[in-house]
Amino acid sequence: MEARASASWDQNWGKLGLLPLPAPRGGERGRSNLPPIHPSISPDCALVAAFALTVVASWGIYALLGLGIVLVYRTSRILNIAGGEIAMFIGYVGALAVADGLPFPIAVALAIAAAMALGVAIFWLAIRRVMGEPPHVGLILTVGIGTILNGLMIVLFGGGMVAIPTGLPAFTTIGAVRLPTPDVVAAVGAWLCVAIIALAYRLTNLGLQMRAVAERVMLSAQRGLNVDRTLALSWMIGILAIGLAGILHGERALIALSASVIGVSALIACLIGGMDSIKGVVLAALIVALTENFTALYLDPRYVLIAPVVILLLILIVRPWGLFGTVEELRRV
Amino acid sequence: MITPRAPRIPASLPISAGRTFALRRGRAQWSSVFVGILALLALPVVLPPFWVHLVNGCLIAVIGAVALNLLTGNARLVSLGQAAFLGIGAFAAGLVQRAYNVPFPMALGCAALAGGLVGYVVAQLSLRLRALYVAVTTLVLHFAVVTLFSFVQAVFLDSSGILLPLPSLGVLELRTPTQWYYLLLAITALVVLGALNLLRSFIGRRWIAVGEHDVAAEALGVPVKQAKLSAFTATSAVTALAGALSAYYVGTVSFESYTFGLAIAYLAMIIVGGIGSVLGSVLGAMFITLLPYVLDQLFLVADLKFRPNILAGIHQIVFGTLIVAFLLFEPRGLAEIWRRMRLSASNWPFQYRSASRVAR
Repeated sequence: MEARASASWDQNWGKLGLLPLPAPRGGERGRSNLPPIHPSISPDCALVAAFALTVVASWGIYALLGLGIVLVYRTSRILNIAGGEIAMFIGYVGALAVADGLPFPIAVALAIAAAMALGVAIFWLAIRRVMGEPPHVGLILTVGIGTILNGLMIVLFGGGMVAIPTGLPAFTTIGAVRLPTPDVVAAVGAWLCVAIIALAYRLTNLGLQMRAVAERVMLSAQRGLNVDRTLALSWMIGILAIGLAGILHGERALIALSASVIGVSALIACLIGGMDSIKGVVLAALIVALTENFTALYLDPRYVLIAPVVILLLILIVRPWGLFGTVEELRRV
Repeated sequence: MITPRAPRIPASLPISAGRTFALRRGRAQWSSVFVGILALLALPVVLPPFWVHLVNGCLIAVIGAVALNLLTGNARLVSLGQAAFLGIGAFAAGLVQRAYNVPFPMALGCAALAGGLVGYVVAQLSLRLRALYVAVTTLVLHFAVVTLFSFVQAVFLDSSGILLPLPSLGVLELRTPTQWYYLLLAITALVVLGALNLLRSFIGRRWIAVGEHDVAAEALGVPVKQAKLSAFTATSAVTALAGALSAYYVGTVSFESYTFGLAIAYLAMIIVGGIGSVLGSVLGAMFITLLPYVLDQLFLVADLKFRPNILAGIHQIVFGTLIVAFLLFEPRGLAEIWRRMRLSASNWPFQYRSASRVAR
């Protein structure tokens, strides 16, 4: 019985990976945290409004996170799998700032600065050296970066559950409907960020440069573009989008180690939409958010994570390049 | 003007195919193999039981790492679902054991079968996809499988999972780490030798060809679909076997053991050890398995006390840093370092060998 008695090998591995089962999220709020119903409105209508707001908020957050992954993938062809960890890391920075007594906007500004610095650091220290290697190298590199960030979250921030309170009143009244403010802030903030980043990508000079690098690296270098700088910028903006998604998620729900599964949901959205399409990721984020929230509402919040997987598998069978992905992207065998 | 002299072609160039592909050549190499076998057999006699226990952990990890390295290192299908496949093996063995009380070897067989089946299905899905998509499919598989296990455990089983009985091989019950050691050593030796032979055979060479460039491989007549299917199925079966072994070794099956961190630990093993190298898998598995204990001992010596939570965080940071550092600075891992050390030792006091001696 000695083998059983001594400290088990497997338990030690268990200690290493602190990614327990995803905490129920999303639709759980739709059920338990419903706002008190305004007297002048029928209960059903208030329920539907709150549920719709929940969907819009999580849609926006997934779209923002997915946007960060897609932007980086388009320019550097590296699939960033550490999205969830990066989001939570930046979320912890914001939560720490708020806990230190800073007002919410300043905490957000600090977190934004941290996200930009993190993006540039990740690019210059690691990603730059593996550009042009086979794609799996960059992918595994981001797995390593995610592991480091996960460990840092435990060591620096304790790895517990924290919130990022805005300091606003708990409910907002729009017309005759009272809605939970965190969801309103998350929805408005996320969609504002998505719109700004997507428009900047389309309209500004920098966006044009990034699209040029995404199209053809060699040609853009010959036209005098500083490719390294453009790539660094795209990583900066991508990580910024991911970090903003993390902050908004923390504002709406909680920042926790296990909450980094929002990265998985966003990745699924990217794959459904097509890895290199902004339009696709925004649409697919809606699909993922709807699936998750309806699963939580009608089935069980524990299956929130696997419900979008079913849709992803269907999409992979029918259109493996995603809804809006470039078809030549995929080298089918 | 100095005209470079043409290198002399050594008379003893290996000509026969058997000699070219032999794993060991000459009396010196064979005697080192014998010494190694003797040392491995004598290990539990020399080491204290706790160390044997650690070595057992290494051996189980070696089985899983060799399989993952064949899949990710040679066939270049990046799998983030290693923990899921270990869990599939453990749950298959545990459920079969619980339902039908089958003997230990049969439970292992069932585990391998279940792993192979799931691997086959995943391969069918990921055949349509490129490397990146395979990685994401397996990542998603991980979360789906763990959620499924948590459901099974919550609805059909006790909260602590399945308790496994002491495994027995015929008349012998496996009780002590030493008894386990010999069983695990035998299985590990089989898996390692199997992997080495596989890479020399047409199957392994097909996997490598597909991993290097699937379109080129197809143009050369390699059945790409078949190669990818067989790679995924075979390695998943071996991984599930490792999962079942570790479950029996620990004595319980519970979904909480199969975290994403475990999958990353296995990925770290093959990257630190050396992508695509069997020796690398062995070295990396030992390195990563022993690393937490070594770190704990170091902290003990340095008189640093951390809460277990923080300690887990430090382990993760070290793991992640190792993955990143090896990828950036030594992509071929410990196996390459070992090769360089051996080469410089055998060439000493010279920098390199003359061309005429290389072939021997």
